[in-house]
Amino acid sequence: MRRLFAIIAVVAGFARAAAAQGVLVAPHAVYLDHRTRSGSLTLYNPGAEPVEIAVSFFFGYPATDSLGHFTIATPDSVQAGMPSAAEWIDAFPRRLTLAPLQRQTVRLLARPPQGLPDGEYWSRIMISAKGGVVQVAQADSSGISIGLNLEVRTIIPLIYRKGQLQTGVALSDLHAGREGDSLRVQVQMERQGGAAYVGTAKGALLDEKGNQVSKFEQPIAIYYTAEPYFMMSLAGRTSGRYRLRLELSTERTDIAPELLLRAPVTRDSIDVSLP
Amino acid sequence: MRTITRVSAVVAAVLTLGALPAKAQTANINATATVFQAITVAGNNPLTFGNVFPGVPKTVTAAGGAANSGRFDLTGQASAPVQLTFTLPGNLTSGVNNLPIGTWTGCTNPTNTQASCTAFTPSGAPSASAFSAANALFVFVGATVTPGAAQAAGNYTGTVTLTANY
Amino acid sequence: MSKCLRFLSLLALCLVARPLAGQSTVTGMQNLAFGVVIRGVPNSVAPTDPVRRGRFYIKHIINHQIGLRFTLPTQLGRVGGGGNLPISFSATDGIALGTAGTSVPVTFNPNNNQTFNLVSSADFNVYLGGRVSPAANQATGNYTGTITLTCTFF
Repeated sequence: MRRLFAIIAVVAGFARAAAAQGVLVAPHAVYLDHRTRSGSLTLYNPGAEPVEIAVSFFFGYPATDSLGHFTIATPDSVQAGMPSAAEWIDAFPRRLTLAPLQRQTVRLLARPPQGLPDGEYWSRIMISAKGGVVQVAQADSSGISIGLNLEVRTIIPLIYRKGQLQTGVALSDLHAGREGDSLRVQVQMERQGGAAYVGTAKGALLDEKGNQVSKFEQPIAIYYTAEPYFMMSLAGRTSGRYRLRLELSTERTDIAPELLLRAPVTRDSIDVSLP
Repeated sequence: MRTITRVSAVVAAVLTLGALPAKAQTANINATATVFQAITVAGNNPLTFGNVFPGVPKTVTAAGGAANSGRFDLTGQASAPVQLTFTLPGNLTSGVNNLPIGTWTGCTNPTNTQASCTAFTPSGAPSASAFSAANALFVFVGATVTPGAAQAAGNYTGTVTLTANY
Repeated sequence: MSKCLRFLSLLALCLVARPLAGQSTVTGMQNLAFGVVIRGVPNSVAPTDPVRRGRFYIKHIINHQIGLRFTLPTQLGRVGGGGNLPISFSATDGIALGTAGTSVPVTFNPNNNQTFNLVSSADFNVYLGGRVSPAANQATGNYTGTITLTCTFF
């Protein structure tokens, strides 16, 4: 007779049932200025178990793949001329343990190289949070049990600014096509000026009478060039001719106004025929 | 006026001045706060296989029921894109013994339900997703464990890493 | 003693017998600073928090009474406009503590008028905590509001 034993598995280190395990990171984007060269992160453990935190930096920036999906470009190595701040940003503390419901401030300090030219420099901040081993009920007399570690990594942008900077964005190749009950809108965006363009993309679909029948709004960040796509609902829309309007502005509700570099609103529009 | 009368008048005036009604003063301070957007990633539901028997693979799919599927809850800026990457073990280990785990499945949803969720394959390759207009994103995962016919006793462990690139 | 000198002595006595209003003061010393507040996550400051709590310093006369009345905001306004952040004060968000080493802190409700009798010292501090409740879509940025303390000196 085959020996039977039970393995009660709580896999993937997800917390014990009904107990959240993770970390809250604020702000979700860090801006440092060359005059102060310092900033901070607030970490908060909303769970019922302590978590171990590690803070690290690497060079990367948002981009899009060939399908227009958001991705992070991470060069294999940082070459001279790349606007990387990752090598000279440090965090204090770099490692800590957060008790349940504990809040901790992590100081960020920049030590840029001498003679750093004016400009904008980028890094990604990775906050790794590891909880304890998830407890698994002991199996039967066979003595088999399973325990798993969960690690959650949150990666947010860090932007370091020196000197007077300008930003802007140029739009090209705006096109759209129906996909099921949605309109897929895609456009090429190219950063202008020396600083990343951080703002909001708003789209509106107007019928022949000028009535808005669909819209979208999405935060964007253009570091070099990108070709993102946006989806608009076409539920209930009949075939016909429509006008698609796209507008990019340096407005963001999730970033303090004084941290945003302003640029004139950029617009484009095309006619869209829905089959 | 006689001197004494003048003095009395002055004293009376001073005494009157000294018996002033209660005086009030005010002072101000400010209350200040700086509101930030935060991003949160939390594992909120265990991926549960229940009883597993030697030689009998057991699968829990990402959309296989809220009670058994693993779930991560993310919050961030409304409609913002987020890239998800997993680092997953191929085996859970106990000393020199392995308990294979694989065939990971995943799906995402802007609400905490698996109905009509968007499927993806959890892996080291990034999966693009986005927060809902309500700032939320729910990620469900499933997998298959494949115990051998003579799976040895022991405490099998592994590490799963979810990376949310914002 | 000349009449003039008698008058001056009597006047001085009268002046000493009654306090000058200038001896009684209230001064705002420290802002109530919530610091980093995360959207959707309420943030409280206890009146015992030495760094973030608000503080007033009050000076009067020992064995005299002081009436305290707070004018508390219900919202903090976003600097530059575009949002309001709800703020509230609980029944235990006020603490009064004399400066004497033997003083015992008194917890009070800053939403209600209070009257204190100065027993251990002629001056004391009033500490204030509070709670902000940002919405999940609260506009990011700096918020500020004014807290006024009116003291009536008896």
